Amino acid sequence: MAQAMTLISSQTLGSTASSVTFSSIPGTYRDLFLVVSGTISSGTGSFYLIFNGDMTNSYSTNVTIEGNGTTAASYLQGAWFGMWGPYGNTTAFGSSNSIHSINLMDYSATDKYKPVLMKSGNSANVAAVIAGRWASTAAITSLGVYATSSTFTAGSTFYLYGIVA
Amino acid sequence: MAISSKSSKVSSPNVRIQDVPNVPTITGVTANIAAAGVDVAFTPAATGGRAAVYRAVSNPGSIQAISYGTSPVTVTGLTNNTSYTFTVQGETSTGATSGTGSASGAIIPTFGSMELISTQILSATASSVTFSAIPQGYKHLQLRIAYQQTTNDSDFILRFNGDSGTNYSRHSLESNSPSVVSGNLTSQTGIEVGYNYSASYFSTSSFAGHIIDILDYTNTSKNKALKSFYGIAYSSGGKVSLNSGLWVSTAAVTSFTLNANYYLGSSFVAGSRFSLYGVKA
Repeated sequence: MAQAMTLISSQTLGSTASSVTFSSIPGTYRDLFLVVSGTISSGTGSFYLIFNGDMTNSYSTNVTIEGNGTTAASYLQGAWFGMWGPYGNTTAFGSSNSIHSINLMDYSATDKYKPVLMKSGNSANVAAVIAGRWASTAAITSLGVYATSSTFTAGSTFYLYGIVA
Repeated sequence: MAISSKSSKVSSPNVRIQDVPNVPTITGVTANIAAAGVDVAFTPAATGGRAAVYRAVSNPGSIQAISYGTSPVTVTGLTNNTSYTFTVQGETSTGATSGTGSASGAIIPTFGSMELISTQILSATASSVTFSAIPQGYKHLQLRIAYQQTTNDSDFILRFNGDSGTNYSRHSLESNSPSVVSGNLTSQTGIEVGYNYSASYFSTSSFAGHIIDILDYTNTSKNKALKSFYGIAYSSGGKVSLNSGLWVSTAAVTSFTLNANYYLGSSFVAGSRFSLYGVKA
């Protein structure tokens, strides 16, 4: 039986960084699975994803359910130049250690827009599930993770896996 | 000095000389999922002595394993993504060996914690998709889907082992923003795990993502639980959903069907993709 999930690349920050990019992603898998674990230096920070360097408003739309331990809410993010991670509900998301598992389905298909499924949680107050889409039929060959108005702190880790089908 | 010669008769001990076994014939090499190894199947030689054990040896690595008289020999400790061949020899209890014959064909083990079982990509619309003869060597199953349905506001249900009785229930947490709602369905004829928008709502290029985990699927003392994570986004909206589902049965799951025709006569569109994985304990 074929091993389904393979680590493509990982990055551990030795110092703060405003973004992390995986480039030259091979097109030989069916899905990508990205695990981000770390902290954002600004308490109000979050992050967003950019595919193939595309910073046009083609990341429409993502739907989020978030809970902060007291209330649950849903957000709708319209067309934007990146796909948002969790917003931060009534309190900041980035200030506590957080983990995000992100599935990019059919990332190399050239006949589909790219559906994205994300689960997020941090150690203080927020859990979130997110559905998003990149409105492009281009195969994803690079993936950028950008901190919003802030930086990822040293020690933050980023693991990118490929899943065959 | 005279030397006398004295003959003596030595009685031989009661030693039974065992016949050396002839070389067994290798009949195949296959992956053994549960053992994370390779089964080397063989047929003992029809002539020669009887072997007490059969020893398989890998090339490269000379990794060895034995079986006590029966086929196959299961060799473990192999390195993933390395091409191996194997030889087999018979050995008697006193250590006499048959020697080795021809090597087996090559096999490349690729064992991991998550392995692909099969994938279906639709070349035309289909009202249902079935996975049958599911291997029983894993602990959990994961189904990864990128799909679209032909009918607005449609969904699909999942049924195990062809059971269409009212043995299913489901709880959901979902939102299409701004509302967050939770619901439950009990005594259903399948687990309703999808809720999709058809192409008329958005570009035909938009597909939903869906990941379904079916837990402990071979356990015959538990009812079967699943969890699903579903989401779709289009130009002006979308939906995200978490579901838990239950099949009230202790039968091992050997097949399941995703039925899009359950509601509003819908179908999965061409290009929809369904991939089933096994997850080890």
